[in-house]
Amino acid sequence: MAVISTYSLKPFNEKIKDEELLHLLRRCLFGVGHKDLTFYKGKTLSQCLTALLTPSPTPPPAREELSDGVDLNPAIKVGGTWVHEAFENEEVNYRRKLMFRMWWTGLILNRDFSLTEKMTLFWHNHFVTETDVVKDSRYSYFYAAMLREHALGNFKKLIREGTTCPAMLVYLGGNTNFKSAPNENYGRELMELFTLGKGYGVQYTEDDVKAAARVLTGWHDDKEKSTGVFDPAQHETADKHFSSFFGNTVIRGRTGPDGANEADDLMDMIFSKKETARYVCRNIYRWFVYAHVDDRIENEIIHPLADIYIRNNFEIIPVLRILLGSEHFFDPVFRGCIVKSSADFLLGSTMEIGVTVYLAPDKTYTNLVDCHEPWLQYHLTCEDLAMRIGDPPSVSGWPAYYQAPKYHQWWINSASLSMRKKITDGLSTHDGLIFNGYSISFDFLNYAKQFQNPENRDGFIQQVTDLLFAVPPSKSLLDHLRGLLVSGMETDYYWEKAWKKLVEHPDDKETEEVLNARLRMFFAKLLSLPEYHMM
Amino acid sequence: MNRKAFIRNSAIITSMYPLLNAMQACQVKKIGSSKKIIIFIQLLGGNDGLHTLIPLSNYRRLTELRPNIYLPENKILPLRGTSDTGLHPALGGIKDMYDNGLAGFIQGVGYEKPNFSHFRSSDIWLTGSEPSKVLYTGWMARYLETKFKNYPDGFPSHKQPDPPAIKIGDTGTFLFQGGVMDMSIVINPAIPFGSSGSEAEEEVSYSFGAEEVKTIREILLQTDRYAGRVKKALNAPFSSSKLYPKTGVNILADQLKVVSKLINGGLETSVYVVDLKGFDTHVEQVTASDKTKGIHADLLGKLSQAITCFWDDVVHMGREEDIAGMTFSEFGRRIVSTSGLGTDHGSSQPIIYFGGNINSQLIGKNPVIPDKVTVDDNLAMQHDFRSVYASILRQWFKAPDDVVKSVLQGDFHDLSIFNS
Repeated sequence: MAVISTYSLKPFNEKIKDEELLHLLRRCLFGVGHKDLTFYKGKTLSQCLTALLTPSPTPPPAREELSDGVDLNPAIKVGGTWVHEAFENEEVNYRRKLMFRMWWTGLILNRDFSLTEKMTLFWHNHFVTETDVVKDSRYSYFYAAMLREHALGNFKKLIREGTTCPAMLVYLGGNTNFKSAPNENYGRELMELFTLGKGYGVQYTEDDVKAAARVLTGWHDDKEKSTGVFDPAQHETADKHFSSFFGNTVIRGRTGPDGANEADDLMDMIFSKKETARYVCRNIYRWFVYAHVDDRIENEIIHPLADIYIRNNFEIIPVLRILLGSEHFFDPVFRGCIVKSSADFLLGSTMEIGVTVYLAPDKTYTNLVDCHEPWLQYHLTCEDLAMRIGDPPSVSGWPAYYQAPKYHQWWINSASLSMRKKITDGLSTHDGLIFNGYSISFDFLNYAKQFQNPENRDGFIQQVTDLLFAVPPSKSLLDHLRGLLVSGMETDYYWEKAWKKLVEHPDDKETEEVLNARLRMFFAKLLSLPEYHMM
Repeated sequence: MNRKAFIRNSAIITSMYPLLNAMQACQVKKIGSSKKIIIFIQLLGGNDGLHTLIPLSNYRRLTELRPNIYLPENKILPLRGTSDTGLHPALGGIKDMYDNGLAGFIQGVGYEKPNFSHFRSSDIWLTGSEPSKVLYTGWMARYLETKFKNYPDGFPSHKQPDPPAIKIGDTGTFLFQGGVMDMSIVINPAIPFGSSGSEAEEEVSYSFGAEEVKTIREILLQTDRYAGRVKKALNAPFSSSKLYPKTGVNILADQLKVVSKLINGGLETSVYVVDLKGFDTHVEQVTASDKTKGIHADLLGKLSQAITCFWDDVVHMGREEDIAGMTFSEFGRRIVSTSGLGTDHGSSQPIIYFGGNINSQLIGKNPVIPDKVTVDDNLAMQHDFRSVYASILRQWFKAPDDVVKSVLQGDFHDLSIFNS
């Protein structure tokens, strides 16, 4: 039985081995492809972390992508953004919600070398809104843009801003939180799910929830400006008294527009509790390292990380730098111990191997950057795999990150595994997965070409499995699969010959197809192995 | 336009897959299902036809062109009703089946403009493509897709509870590669069914991941929609023919043994592929001291033995009328032998077929060996390989003409292989 051998947060070796680098990248990116490895290989651990912790540039806003439909707003053309424009009716809003979701999925599919997308999704899971509950496509867009802006930034700022962002005001009833009839929903989730958590010595009271709700009375969403606005007339101006857990804090009632600032006081109080930092660090740990946090991890990893978090006034980068660069993180016991989320599996495999999008009749794209419609298809497929980005199943996020003792095994059941196999099988066929006017298929030949000496069959298989698998498939299994590359021939000679021919005649379609046919069958099997579900 | 109409109208907004249908629990049907079954025996590497089905009428030419490998005339097995054609001495079992009306041969099967690449030529054979055209699906998969519409959605079903196709051996085959996915399941006789044959758990025991992989493997096994049926069929009581050699001696016999178990167990799968490696006999096809021995003789011996044992099982099951089999290879071999006691890649080849409901005959004539032969010359083709496929589809599976034409992407006449 595997055991953890180090609980140290001390920096790990600066010179990291390939398998250690891959471990780091698998956890931080969605899939690891040749491009990623090329970028990171040769860097020291510090350099790797610096690159990972460099925020991606702010992406262009969500746009009108679907040429088949029409946004009724004449200001909006295909390719133009709609995020600042009112929508006329629910149909338009519905289309925009789809475009919002495909925008998000597209950002992941076009990720760079930064941790930004992984952390954006982390905050989405941590600080949930659901697009279909929020209902206003613009609100959800601004919510997601906010998560991305703060993804590698300051958590306290994120929560403060998010508390009064229109999406959250709608999602958890902040906009119906009036002086005359406070709505406790947000106050409760703020403490229980977004900041303090439950258990681990957290002892806020029901009255604290009510007091927090009263602090936030008067906020509501503004349809015109797509922001949260403060209405002093609806604000409870009396003092708010908190329990001994908060040191009997009193948030003084403020009147007029100044009432809005009570939200800041509330944040100060909640963020003064070390439990908040610990709760977030625990969730970070589960996201990046391992689901199961025992007492020793709590004391020797989570608590010190929380102290760093507090010392850095809730900037996340120093915490991530310590955790992802620690001896503990690189303990081999954690290599390949996380079951891939649906996004990690679906978007990750696409990022790893690369796909070709064929547009009917003969137009070919080599990547997903220029062809936007597949982004929506990826979004919907991820949804079929129980991960609807933009709409987690509840305010608690995906059960994979909180539901003990199953945690990440939540992704895995007979339906999802069948579906995962169908998807990788489909992407592994020549025709790929076919949609209206285009198809998507893995580009195995291009992937294979980027390995060193792919004509050396065993060397090729070794490199492929090193790159694709966090838990290596067994040698005996690979011994069976290797035959697929040579159609059961007993020698490598013909495999080598085909590659040589391709080098000599790079445009020879027949040779390409001879290699592709074998690669397709080989990879379809590899990608359906149980080991491929681990990262 | 309401939202539902919008979803319907915009074809983009359909997800890749609807949720899988709930799996149906199916009971193994009563033994004695009468569906037609065909078993393809793929001889990997390119089988030397002139050294398998020997054109005795050309015997003298063989001794000239293949001086170092030709078989002694007195060792060649005679065939019922002809003195022109004989069999390699290792094919005694096949000879007996032929003489008893249970086997037949098709001479000179191939395609125009032969391709000498193993990979390309086997792809041509397995996809059933025009030699100049690349196809991406197996010809049998294209036929099975007409029988298992929308596969894998809705399968297994009450009416079609079993896998469309089964490959026995290490790996899958292009023959069963459909447009959407591989339509076969692969059963490796060397590994207990359902296990991965994997030591992954031990190899990665340093990681918590090993435990998770075990869990996933267990779920995957439950997910394998055919696992229950296959397991049940494999475990159904059956005493295999006493003729089989010990496990591991004849890998083809081991594979066919699994096929007969599955058939006996009630599986309604209609297409199986088994294979035998090693026919790429550039050198040492025969031994120098005894040309009836060597790699090729060993392989043909295994082929003959395996089919004989398998047929004994078929007779024991009383399924002679429903079961047929056929060999094929990616190509035959060159007319002129190599100096290394072997042969290079060639073109057309003879096919051996067998069954209880076949026309036991020699279809076609002995290959014509031209007067002047160089090391590059090859045997002319007599029968397009797709005529063999057309015969299987029309005569054996009773496929309608339009289906046959669409599966084979052309119009190919039948050969008289099966009784109709």
